[in-house]
Amino acid sequence: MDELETSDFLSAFPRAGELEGAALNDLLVAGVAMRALENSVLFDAGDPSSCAYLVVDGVVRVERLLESGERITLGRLGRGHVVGDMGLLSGQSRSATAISEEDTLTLRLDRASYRRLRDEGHPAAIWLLEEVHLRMGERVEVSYDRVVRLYQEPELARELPSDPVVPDGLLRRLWARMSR
Amino acid sequence: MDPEAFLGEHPLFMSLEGEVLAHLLAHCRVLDFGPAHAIAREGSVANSCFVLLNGQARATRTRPNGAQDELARLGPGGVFGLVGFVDKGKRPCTFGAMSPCSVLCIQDSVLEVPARTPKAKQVLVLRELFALALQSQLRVANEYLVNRATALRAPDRSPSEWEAMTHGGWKAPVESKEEVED
Repeated sequence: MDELETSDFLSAFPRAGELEGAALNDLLVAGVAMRALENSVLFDAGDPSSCAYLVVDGVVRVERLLESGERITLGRLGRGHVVGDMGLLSGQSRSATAISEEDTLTLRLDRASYRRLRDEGHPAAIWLLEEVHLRMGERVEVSYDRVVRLYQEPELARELPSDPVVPDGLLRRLWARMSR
Repeated sequence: MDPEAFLGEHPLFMSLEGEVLAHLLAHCRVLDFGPAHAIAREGSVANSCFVLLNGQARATRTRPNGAQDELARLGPGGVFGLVGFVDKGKRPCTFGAMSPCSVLCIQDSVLEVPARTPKAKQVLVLRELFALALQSQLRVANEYLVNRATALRAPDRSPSEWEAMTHGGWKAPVESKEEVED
């Protein structure tokens, strides 16, 4: 298990700075710092889900296996993203595989710990759900862009594996503009 | 249509306890739209989300030349307008009525509640439901992408085959000159 510095977490999730120190500490204590080496599988498609990973450093690739055996990259989620967020909200099985593309430091939060915070109406739970919603909204937008782009330029299907969901907001907007 | 009865049978909201449902309903109103009227416009502030009570609606995105790509079609029970809902962000697409329809408009004030109060847990349960609905859209969009990519990489598969593989209200986007009205 790794140590997770509050400053590192805040650097990755700056909006968490709006939480009072004690509330932020409660969140960090509720989770477990976990370092995944390059090419480690965080979870596989079809696995039961019971936790989420808040990416403090590194990059996680989310991918699906096609019938042909090829892999399609659905997204690359870096610092400040929550991977496998559905593990907090439901026990639905994983819809995709998550693999660390480089050494990656995460805060792993399991559903039971999250629920304890939620049931207290804890500010960390409010922050976390806002973060999940915001990031998910960004991913939906990018998927909209990709659906439209794929329709307009079908030959781009071949580029999909190298055409990631860009985690940074500015790059994402640039990507979206380029895709129109 | 009685929104409380409708939500009581809606798969996303049916498990809500009485107090949470009452909190939700206190921040809702029913709006009616005629065919081709905009329910919410691309680029506007997402200060509400919607549940389609009856009728048909669709999500479209406008190209620079004014043409529209249809992203999704929605039927009764469809939950939409969730992108940007928690941070008053901008809507990424336009939602327009395709037939006379009624929608339950949920104001973002439903999310405002002080932490560490009994009501905070209720609101967190609602936030979870909205996140689940958004996740469902993401899964469908990603499913569409995977199926489309699979189809395009297998030229022997007919378009109708990959169309059949899509689900959840999504369909192949179509370019349309049809405009929605204010």
